[in-house]
Amino acid sequence: MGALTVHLKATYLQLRIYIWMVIIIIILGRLAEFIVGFFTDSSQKTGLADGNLLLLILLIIAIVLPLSYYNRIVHLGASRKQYFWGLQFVYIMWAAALALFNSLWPILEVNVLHKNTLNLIEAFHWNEFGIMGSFLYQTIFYLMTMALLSMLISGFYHFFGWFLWVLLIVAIPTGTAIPALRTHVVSFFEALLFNDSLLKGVGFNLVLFFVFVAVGWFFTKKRTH
Amino acid sequence: MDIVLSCDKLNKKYGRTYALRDLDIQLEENVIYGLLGRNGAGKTTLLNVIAGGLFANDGTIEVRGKKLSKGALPEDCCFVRENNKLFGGARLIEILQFASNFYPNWDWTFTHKLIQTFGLDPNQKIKQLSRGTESLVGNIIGLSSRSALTLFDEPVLGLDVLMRERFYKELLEDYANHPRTILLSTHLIDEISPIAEQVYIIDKGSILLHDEMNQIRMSAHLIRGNLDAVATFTKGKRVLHTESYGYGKLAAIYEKLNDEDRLQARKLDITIENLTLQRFFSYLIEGGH
Repeated sequence: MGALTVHLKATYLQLRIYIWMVIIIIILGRLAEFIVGFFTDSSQKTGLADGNLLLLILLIIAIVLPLSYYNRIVHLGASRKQYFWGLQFVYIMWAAALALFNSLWPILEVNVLHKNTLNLIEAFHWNEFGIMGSFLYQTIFYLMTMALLSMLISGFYHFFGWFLWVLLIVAIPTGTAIPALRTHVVSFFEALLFNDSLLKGVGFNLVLFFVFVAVGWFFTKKRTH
Repeated sequence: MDIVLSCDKLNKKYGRTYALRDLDIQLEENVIYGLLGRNGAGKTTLLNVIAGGLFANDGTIEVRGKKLSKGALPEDCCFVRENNKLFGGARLIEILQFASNFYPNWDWTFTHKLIQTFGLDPNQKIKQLSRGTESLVGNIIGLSSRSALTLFDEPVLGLDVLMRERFYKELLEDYANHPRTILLSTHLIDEISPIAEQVYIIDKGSILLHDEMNQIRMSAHLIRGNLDAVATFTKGKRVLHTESYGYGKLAAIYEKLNDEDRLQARKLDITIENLTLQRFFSYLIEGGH
């Protein structure tokens, strides 16, 4: 078994209950929708696309793994470095897999299932970059979000991590309440999510991703076990 | 012999309490060491600091002469913890497959032999294992890793006497064929005496004694006799403990006795017994020397 396979398999063991919970919730939701659809006219109703709901898994991964995977894999003999890079590999695999699913599933939903769904890809206009562009934008955006969450969770074990939490909690209401700052916040999110240029959008997300990974590594290096 | 690991003036504090205080140890290549100490003496903290799990507040660790950066895992080192956190949903064989990936000298033939020796089911889920069997999983990892430096923290915790004997036997046999440095912490002191070649006794975060097992065997004595006779005999010797009963007295001493000493003992009507490691440890700790 290769080192990366070990990380994939071991993290799956940690995550499978959450992954199946999300999948079962989606299936039950669709089942309920299907049953209700028999008795009511729901052809005009739109829900969030299944692929988008699956993104919950990415958030769970970025929260659960830094909390519970670290001690387990380190106790089996992994160094901090092996843990951290293994974790990044797992994030990349999941982000890419769900980005691919999210890029292909809407085609199936529209053409085969004839469903009207709300999709993040359309909301952020990523579909305008084509399937490959949309896949790339999503992957990097998901990775950046996972790196942010993972960094914040890893920071639980460090004073500076708590400082980051406080900073974030204060920054959100302040940034949206003060009109002068609000315009900057809006342009920040526009550049991040609604960027007209694929290169700039991906590049901006990538820069943030590297910053979060670097800070995450700083926290991991200081973490005890 | 080459020094594999050397700790110099290690200090580790939890709040204001010192868990390790100016601790120095040196581990030579291809030696089995016993690390003995009371609960809370600092054994687990020391092993954790060596393995990079905890950061020392002060002091240095060198591995083969190279200073180890804070929190770094020494190269080719395996640390079997007292309480290993394992993947509950995994099967035993999966855990071993995961672990094997982190040790370059892992021997799968030996792993399968150990699974058989300990009577384990490789397909059993980790969450179904008893405390003792969990210890065995850790021990299999420690032995199969064949790491140049292997640290065991209470490896026989929860094991019955049969499994403990099997573990010691496998450890000694494998060590004979594949010599390496092993540091074993335990509270079952007498059990470690046939295993360890050298012993470190730790108390209140500092090393109280470091000696070869043979030296301890030859130097740890319990003497009994008349009050005055014992006082005469022990004069100038390292006395760990004394106890008076009526006109009699017993004394635990740590001194190599030569023929002259034994002749003197006979003349003074003093009996000399060898101390077990357990009793030697108790007297040493109680004496606080």
